[in-house]
Amino acid sequence: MNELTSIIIPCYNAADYIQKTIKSVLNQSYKKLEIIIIDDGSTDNSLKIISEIDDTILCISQKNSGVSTARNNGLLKAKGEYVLFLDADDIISENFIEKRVSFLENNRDYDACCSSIHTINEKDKLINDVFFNISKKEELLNFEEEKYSCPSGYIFRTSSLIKNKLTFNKKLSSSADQYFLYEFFNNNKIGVVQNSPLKYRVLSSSMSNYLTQKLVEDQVIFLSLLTQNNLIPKKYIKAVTSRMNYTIGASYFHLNMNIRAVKYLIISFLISPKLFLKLKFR
Amino acid sequence: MCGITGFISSKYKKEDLIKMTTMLKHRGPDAGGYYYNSDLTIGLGHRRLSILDLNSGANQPFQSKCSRYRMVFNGEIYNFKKILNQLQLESNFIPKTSSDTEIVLEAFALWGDSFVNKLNGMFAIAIWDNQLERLSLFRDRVGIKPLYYYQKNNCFAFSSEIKSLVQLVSKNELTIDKTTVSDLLHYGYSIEDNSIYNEIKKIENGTSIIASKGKIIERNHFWKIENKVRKELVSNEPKVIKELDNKITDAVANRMIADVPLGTFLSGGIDSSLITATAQKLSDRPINTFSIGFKDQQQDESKYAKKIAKTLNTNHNELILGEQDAIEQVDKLFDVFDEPFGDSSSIPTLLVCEMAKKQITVALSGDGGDELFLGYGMYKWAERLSNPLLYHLRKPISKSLNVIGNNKYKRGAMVINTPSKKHLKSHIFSQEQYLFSKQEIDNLLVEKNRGNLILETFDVNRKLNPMEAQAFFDLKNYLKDDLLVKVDRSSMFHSLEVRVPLLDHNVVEYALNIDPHLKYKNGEAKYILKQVLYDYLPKKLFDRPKKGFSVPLSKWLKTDLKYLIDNYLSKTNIEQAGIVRFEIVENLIYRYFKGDDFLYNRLWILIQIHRFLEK
Repeated sequence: MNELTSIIIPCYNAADYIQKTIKSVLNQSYKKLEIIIIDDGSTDNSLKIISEIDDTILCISQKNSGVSTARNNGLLKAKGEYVLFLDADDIISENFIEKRVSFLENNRDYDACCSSIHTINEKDKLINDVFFNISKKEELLNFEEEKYSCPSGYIFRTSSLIKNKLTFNKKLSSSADQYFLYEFFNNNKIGVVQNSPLKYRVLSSSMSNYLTQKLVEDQVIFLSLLTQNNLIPKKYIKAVTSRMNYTIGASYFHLNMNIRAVKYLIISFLISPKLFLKLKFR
Repeated sequence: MCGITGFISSKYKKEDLIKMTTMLKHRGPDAGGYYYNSDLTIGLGHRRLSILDLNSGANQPFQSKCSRYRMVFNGEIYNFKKILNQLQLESNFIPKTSSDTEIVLEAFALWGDSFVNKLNGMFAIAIWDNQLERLSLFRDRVGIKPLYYYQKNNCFAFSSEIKSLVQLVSKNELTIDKTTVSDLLHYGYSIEDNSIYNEIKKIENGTSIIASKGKIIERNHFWKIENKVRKELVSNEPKVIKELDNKITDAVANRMIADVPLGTFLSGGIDSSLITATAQKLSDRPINTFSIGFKDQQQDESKYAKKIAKTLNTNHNELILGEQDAIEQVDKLFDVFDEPFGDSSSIPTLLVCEMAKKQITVALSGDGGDELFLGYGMYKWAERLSNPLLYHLRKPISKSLNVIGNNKYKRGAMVINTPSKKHLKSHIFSQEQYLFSKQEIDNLLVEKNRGNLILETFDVNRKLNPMEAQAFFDLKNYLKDDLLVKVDRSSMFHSLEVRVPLLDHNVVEYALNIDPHLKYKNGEAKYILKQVLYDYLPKKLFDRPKKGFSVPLSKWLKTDLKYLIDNYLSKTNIEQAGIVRFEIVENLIYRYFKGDDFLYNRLWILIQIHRFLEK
């Protein structure tokens, strides 16, 4: 296996964890790598830490534009046959790249590969049992609880991304990952390998942990993009849209934005009363 | 088998190295050695228990032929002769000794870190590279040999036992890990890489680490049990019996190589009987066998061991114990284990090791059989609770069992009352061990602490059935952090080396992929292992329920050991320690003395914890 893999790491104020992230890349059993860090306008000493680890790492700075723009800009610079979008606080196990690349080399009809996920906290301690990356569209559409969309878990065939003009949608923030997968599944296949986990860091301060209006509005845009671009198969439209409207409505309730909450809950009910009642009484 | 220590630190000197190494004298009474270089701030220490090549030429720390590397090593490499052949072919190497020590170091010198994949054995290895100024440490695949480390303030130190590290850094530098205390209440042992101290960790099994300038710079897993689970199972019964017998025979044969007297532990159960029978088959003389029995007839299995020994014509040694003999071991436990340890079968294990050491230096033991071949009753619980109907009705069923009232049903009620599917395996384990459930711990602790998480879902190549999954959980946790700890510390306390043929990695990797329906067949646990055994010994010798290797602790804590409850679980002591709520403990003691005997192990682990904190 001799193909180059590009590791794109969007970095925004990641001083606390980026050292461990980079070290986990440098510790890989698979050595043919290039690391591209896109610094999204960090105001801490992330850049200093990066240069102290290895001053040959390509580090590109940009004005603060969000994680999607950072990933897309990294993809433009990537020379590898394979690409990994690694979050600046996640850690990859030492055979992470080797197992995925080996799979893709031996299965040319697959466009990406993933495995299991261990969620860890600030102190690198496990906080949950094993999860798995989403590898089938049905898992996305059925909102399977033990399946995650985090992009750090996947290695993609670069040509599949380019051929299908796949990038991360700049209009989205926390749901950009999921949206990316919806688009990816249109024409592409994801394979699974065993036991080469991603250690996915869940911080108490992370975006998706705090329910904010911005987060909910992101969900609204996400749903709107899915329906506008016909990314939900007909068979699943009712279930997915009813559920998402329900989630948006419930979130607005949490934020005490009751008028909006009622609006989305009514929409959810009208789309599928059966599902609405199931969700309500779960 | 030995003890190893060392550090990379400018703070500590040779005298510190000597002191920390001397703490392991029990592991290696035959010789001690040191390497210290103040410029490079490296110290390596070794205590030797001579097993192969009894000459001093094989003493450690050992230096490589090229002088670049120095090594301290605890363990045995059973295929060292095969590795030697490879070394001779590739590098014209000529050994100076007939020990495996030299071969291990030269293998590293030639092949680097990947050498570890060639080793078949049990080991904890530390190799210092003078050129790169770094220390490489390796711990064997299953975790048979221990290896702890301390890392703080540009000091990296390691040792076979915690006591050396405590000696080096002093107790003032160490803080109690309260999360581990929560784990101890649930599992009875410290889990994963944790110890009772925040600053001291275990190196995981199947792992190598590199340390330089006082800290870890790299960590790699060279063997993970998950990677050994294959998609396809071996299901052909006659084929499995033959292949399993061959692999066990190879494993036993490899472990019978020693320049000192050797024997086996023979409890009368399936595993030890198979190991003994295989060893006897391979030996042209009667094998020395050792078993202990109790005057309390309910606990005594020694008569079965005796019959088996007579059938195999071994040189059998038996020790029948009274309660006082076992009780006298209790005080020793605290010196043996360095941290609270809830497994009271360490008492008879200490005794059998003490007895065996009078005649032999190496013993073969049957550990691992229950985990590999579905031997424990709790695996049936795992199967029952996988039934969705039983699972969903668990709360009303549990309430009903409690009402029925006797100990057996009350205990069953606690097993069934599992909090969630996600923590089912750890719950089943804790209840089988009569320890605290997570719900009980929430109520018991003064400061809430959920403990560390153990993974209970396994990312493997095929779906494991509920019994297999529970056994896999045990292989990853209970075996490594309880049973093998018990065997290592108890045997090394008496300078006895114990070898575990069923945990030869070839046997483990094969057993993992045997069809579980051959392991548990027609209501019979360890079915396939028994078929192998019945080629050596008649079935009628084993027609009885399985008994563990235990002591009547539930009785003793009410009588001869009651003083432990009075001393360590008093109001003053509990409140001073501030870990658990006295009113809960008081209620437990009251219920125990009123007849809820199954609470004994909860009290036992509380005693262990509070005794440790007092010391």
